[in-house]
Amino acid sequence: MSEPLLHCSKLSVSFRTDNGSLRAVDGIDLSIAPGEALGLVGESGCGKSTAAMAILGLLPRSAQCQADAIRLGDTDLAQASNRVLRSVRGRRVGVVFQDPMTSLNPYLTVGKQIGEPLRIHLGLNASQAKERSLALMRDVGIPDAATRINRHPHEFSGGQRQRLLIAMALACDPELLIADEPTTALDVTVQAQILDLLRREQQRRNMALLLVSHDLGVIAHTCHRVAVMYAGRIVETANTKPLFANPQHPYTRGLLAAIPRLDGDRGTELTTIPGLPPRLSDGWQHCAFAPRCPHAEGRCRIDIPNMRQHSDEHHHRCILDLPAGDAP
Amino acid sequence: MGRYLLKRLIQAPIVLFLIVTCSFVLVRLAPGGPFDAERKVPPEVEAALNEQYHLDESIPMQYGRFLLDLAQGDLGPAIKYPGRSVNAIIADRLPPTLLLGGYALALAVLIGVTVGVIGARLYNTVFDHASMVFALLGISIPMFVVGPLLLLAFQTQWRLVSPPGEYGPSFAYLSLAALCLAAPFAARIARLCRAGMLEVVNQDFARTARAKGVPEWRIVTVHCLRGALTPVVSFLGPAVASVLTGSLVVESIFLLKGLGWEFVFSAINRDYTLVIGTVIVYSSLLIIANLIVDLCYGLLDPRVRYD
Repeated sequence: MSEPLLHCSKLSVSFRTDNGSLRAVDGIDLSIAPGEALGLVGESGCGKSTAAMAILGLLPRSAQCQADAIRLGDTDLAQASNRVLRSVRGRRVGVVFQDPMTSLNPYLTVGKQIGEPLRIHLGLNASQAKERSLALMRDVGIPDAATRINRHPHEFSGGQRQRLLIAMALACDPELLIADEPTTALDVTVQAQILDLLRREQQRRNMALLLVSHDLGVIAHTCHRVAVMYAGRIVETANTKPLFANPQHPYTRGLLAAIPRLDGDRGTELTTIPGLPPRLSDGWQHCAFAPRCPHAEGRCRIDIPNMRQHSDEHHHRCILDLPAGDAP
Repeated sequence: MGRYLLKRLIQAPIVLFLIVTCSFVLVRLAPGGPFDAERKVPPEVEAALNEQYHLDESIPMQYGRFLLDLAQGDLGPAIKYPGRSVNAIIADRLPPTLLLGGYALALAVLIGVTVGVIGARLYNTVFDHASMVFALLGISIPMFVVGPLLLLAFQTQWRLVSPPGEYGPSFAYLSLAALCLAAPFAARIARLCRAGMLEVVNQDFARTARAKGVPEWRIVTVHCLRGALTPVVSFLGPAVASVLTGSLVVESIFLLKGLGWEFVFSAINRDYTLVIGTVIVYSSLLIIANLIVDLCYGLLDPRVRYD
């Protein structure tokens, strides 16, 4: 892999709660090459969104974030001052959020909101920013952009609002786009359009993409490489094709098996992973997936497994050697 | 919007008419009359006075006469001020009251919003806690305690202000009075604005702004302030009414001869015409203030629809 654009090492986030500290992200390493699309996947509460937000320091105040380094090019975001972080946000890294209904400011016109990063980071004046905003709105497929640039967010549909958020994130031509569950709040037909838009813009701008999703279909459709998270740790990472063809970690196998298939026999029960995701406050001393794992053995409950290399760019965190192509 | 404004402008005189009619009847039903005094006026003098001011007629007759005069903009003679009309007294007394009330409201909004916003930004710090303690004091301590204390400190003790002289109150003295009137409102506004701001800055769109690299002060002023002001605006409607009644107290403490002063004494003196005149002025001010507040919602939040 070429020199990574973004490299996080040992990124941890914990939240202070009334019942003590809660470790949502536990020492994960992440690398994204320039122009690469990385999918971060896992079930609700596994820490994937928290990890993505931690990169830009966008966590709520109750969160404490530690990392050996969060390198973006030659800037270390983990050590950076607020001023440096601000100059990176929206300029070098754009963010698209999950809920387009609440993520746009209801009090400002969409033109003002899209133009804002242009004015702040690139120093454009009002009319230049408006011109660029208009072009961006057209790029992301807002019909009749010229008249609607002065409208407020409530006058747009959910899908259009997500397009506007994407336009805003792309405004300064960032090197990296972080998309946090960008399609979760949208209905299925709109989801596909938004994914196509993200993929098209990613390729056109040769921009790196960190796509956070719980939906393996979304990831398969969009990403070159996948990292699977479980209980705050990355349990498997590989290029998309090998991961889907030959998953190594039993959790990844469980996730893949749980995707309902249209070509299966009618009436067969949907496959699920038994049990619940672990409570994060528990502080695991052994494999966090062991309690739900159909293959778990005694030695799984002794130590936390390290990352193992399966093939060139395929790593996983399971001490067992599962036979290829085995069902979960 | 235009339709809404038209509707409200048609409603306003109807509301005013009802208020005036009620007060007209009530003030005449109240025991006593304008010529009752410790020393009884001779009956023939009282009869003559009653005849002069048409108080010997039946109430419906008086009401009809009053409406005819009102239609021509004439509020009649002030019964207890021989030779002066109610119109002249209002023209004389209204400006100081408007000045005091407007000054106090402006101070209350300015201080309240500033303290509230800073308190929310410095949430859980010494400033935040201290300002909220002061706010609680401001709400709890009545004006008739704050006013004399202010005068004691600034006028008697430190001699920083002097009482109103021949040419009316000085600016410093007026500021002191306005501060006294503004204190409880500034306190309420600070609390409302702080709570509103705390709610808004934790919303998703504030995070979006942060993710765009917008500086924190700009997130507060450009992105969040309008949302945080909505509860403040809701409070301002009733606050205008309270400022008007509060100004009665403050005018008395600070010896500012405004309309509040006249309003209280006209009611005590049963100066029927002057009571009605001041009621008309106060009600109009209130109706206008509430209309402005309702229109402000639309200016603050583009999602508000008037229909």
